[in-house]
Amino acid sequence: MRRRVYDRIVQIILIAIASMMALFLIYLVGYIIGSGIRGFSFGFLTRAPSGITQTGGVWPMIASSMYLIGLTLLIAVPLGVGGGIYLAEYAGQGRIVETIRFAVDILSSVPSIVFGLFGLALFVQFFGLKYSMLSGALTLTLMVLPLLLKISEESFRAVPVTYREASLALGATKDQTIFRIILPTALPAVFTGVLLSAGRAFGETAAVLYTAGLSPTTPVFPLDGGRTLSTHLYLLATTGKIEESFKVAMVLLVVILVFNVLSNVVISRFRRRFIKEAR
Amino acid sequence: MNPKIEVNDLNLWFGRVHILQDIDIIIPANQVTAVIGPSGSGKSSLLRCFDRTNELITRTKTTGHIVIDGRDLAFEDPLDLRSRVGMIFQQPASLPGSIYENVAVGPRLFGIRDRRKLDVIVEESLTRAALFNELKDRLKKSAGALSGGQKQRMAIARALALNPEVLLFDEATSALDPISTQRVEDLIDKLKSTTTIIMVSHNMQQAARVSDHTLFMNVEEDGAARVVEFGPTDKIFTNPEDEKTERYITGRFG
Amino acid sequence: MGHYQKSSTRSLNNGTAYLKMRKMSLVELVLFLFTLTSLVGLVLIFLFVIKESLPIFLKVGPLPFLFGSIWQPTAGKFGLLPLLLSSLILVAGSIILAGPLGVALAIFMVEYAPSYVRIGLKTLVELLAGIPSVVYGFFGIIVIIPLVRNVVGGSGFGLIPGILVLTVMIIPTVTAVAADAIRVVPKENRLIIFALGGTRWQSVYRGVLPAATRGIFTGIILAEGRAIGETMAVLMVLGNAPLLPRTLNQPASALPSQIALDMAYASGDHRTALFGIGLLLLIFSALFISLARRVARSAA
Repeated sequence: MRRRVYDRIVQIILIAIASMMALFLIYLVGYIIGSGIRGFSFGFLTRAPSGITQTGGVWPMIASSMYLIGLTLLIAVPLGVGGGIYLAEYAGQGRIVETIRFAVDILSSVPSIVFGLFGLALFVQFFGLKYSMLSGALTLTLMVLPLLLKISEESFRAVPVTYREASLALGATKDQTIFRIILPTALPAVFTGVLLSAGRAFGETAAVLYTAGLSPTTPVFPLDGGRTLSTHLYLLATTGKIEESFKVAMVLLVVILVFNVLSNVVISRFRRRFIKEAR
Repeated sequence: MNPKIEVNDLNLWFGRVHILQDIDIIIPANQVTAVIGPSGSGKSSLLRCFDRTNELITRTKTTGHIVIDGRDLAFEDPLDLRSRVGMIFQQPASLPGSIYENVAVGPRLFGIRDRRKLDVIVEESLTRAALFNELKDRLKKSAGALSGGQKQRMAIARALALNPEVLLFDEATSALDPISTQRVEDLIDKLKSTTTIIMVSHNMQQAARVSDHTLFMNVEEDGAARVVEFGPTDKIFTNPEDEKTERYITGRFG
Repeated sequence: MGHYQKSSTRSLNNGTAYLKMRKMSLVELVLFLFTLTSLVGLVLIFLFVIKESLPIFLKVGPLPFLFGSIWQPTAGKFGLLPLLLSSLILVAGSIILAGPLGVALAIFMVEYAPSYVRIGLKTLVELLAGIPSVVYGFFGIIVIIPLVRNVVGGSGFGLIPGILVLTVMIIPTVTAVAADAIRVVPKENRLIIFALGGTRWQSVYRGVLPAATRGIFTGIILAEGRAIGETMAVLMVLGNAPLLPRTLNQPASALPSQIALDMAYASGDHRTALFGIGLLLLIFSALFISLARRVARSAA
């Protein structure tokens, strides 16, 4: 009889923990969005902040964040997706490839503040790129590269072997098969990796603090500095501008939610397609 | 011949799918009953009715009765029932841990912690499964290293550790080599003095060799499985009443 | 999985690197170079962080730097012990909370929840993982710190909110990795226990968990790696006083947050000392990931 009571208790505890986590998330999201939406207008997104308090608008920060994400993806996507193709389609199990895989694992674990330090030392100072979009993007590239590599490799491996066989049987070369058949098929799954990387880059603060800089201006050229939205939230929240912080935090959360929903939709489409074809 | 299990008008559904239809049989005690039939004829589903493990996998609905020793399964606690009815699966599988732990896991589930008691149970069960002499020097070694045949006999020992009245074999030898299969068959023959055995088999020769009674099941066109013929094994294999039984056992369909 | 040319690649790799280069097509070579950026980047990170931090190790000496008990850059005192201890307390405290909670969530997801709940929880874990650390830090400031202030007193800033915020942030890592490990346990492990009359919890405890232990530990180690390097959220709630931690309810400063805090104005020895902290973090996280890899591998 004791084991049945035990079973029941464990079940109740597990349900309690899961509900607690769900409630926590709902509370966090609800509280921030609920508070942020008060007094929110779209002008907030399109205005520049004003005065010494630097409040009232976040357009330069949105511009900096988008600029930074765009530039990062421009550099990181070819490298990450290309590398993913290599790891999935060409790489064997030699020593070089093993070393690269190990390096990718280590790179994925490097704390973001260390990326920031490194970016400061190499890009900002050694290469003289100053606090700039380019310095930030190069730093973020290294940071999101492991994620992109991993997801791309998995996406290519998920393409059914019959596709390759059919293409090769028709006389296509290996390179042709990869770029005309496999790449287009795997693209939706690769795209989720791109979305996740963009989300990562968007929320990142420690790595861009001392590479992209703090200047609340709208960047035009890659060598212009700028303050991202997440950096802005850090500066606002630690200087006691709570009301403004709520608005910025809300914008951050909403964007992250959209990224998440979008990547889930894309990946589930991708999966459904292959399940259908397997039948 | 004492009846052990009486099945009256049993019907089983998985969700809306009718799986078993109007099953009416009496399984005799201390004998081996083989369940044969083509793939998808509900043999394993029927077997799982006897220890009520169908309901773990999907949403099920059952009508009719299964009665073991005068007690209706529907009113029994499934956990107690499963401890009295052992099941051997098709895939030889072991839990992580030693051979000893694998055999002792059943009694442990029921709160037996006393090391000496467990030692006795493990030795007895392995002996009954004709495995003790083979393994007595490596009881503390990992069970994962055993061969498929040894794992399967260890699974029998694991079930025996709870002293079950009924043992269910769900194609338990289909993943084994001929010699291991022979050993398991010998074991089944020995075990029927103490337990009632029901075995699902795809192998006609095996059913003919090992069983006392044979139950032939088949799927009708509506998709639900029914009993085609049930009787003494000799009769089913030499002089079946139903033409379908004859065609199946002679390998002409299924 | 789909490796129509695996055997040819193998034989290729058994040859020398020289042979391999000769057989590469141009496309393959370019893609290989792309892949190589990760390795080059990692090497550069190590080189630069070591180069920039070398002076402090030479000047102060490795041991006094690591275990000196006073961090006062303006007075020329560079002892990391206060930061190191605070970081260790943060990691230990958060893993003590997040380990059981994360594993419990994983067990519930895989073994108990009906499929629609499972999908919901999976989304929940992904969302928790995706929320930026500054948002967690902000949440810490507006919700957790007032709560700590009311319950235990003091300013509210310090190690307690640090541990709590970190806990929430690393639960997704623990849960995701543990859930994967639990999911791949063969279904027979559960059936064996059920067929003997075991309860669901017994099937988990006796059948599933022993087979998933290594995967679960991998998740916990990875989470620790994440906790030690987490910067912004911790920076925002810790109170940032580089004091030796004597109680949990006191302002403190951790290794990564001190870098973020000081880098804006640091120069000279102070700057090299911050790179020294960076090197320490780099080594810590590399150790954690190597350990996780080793544990995960030995499972196979």
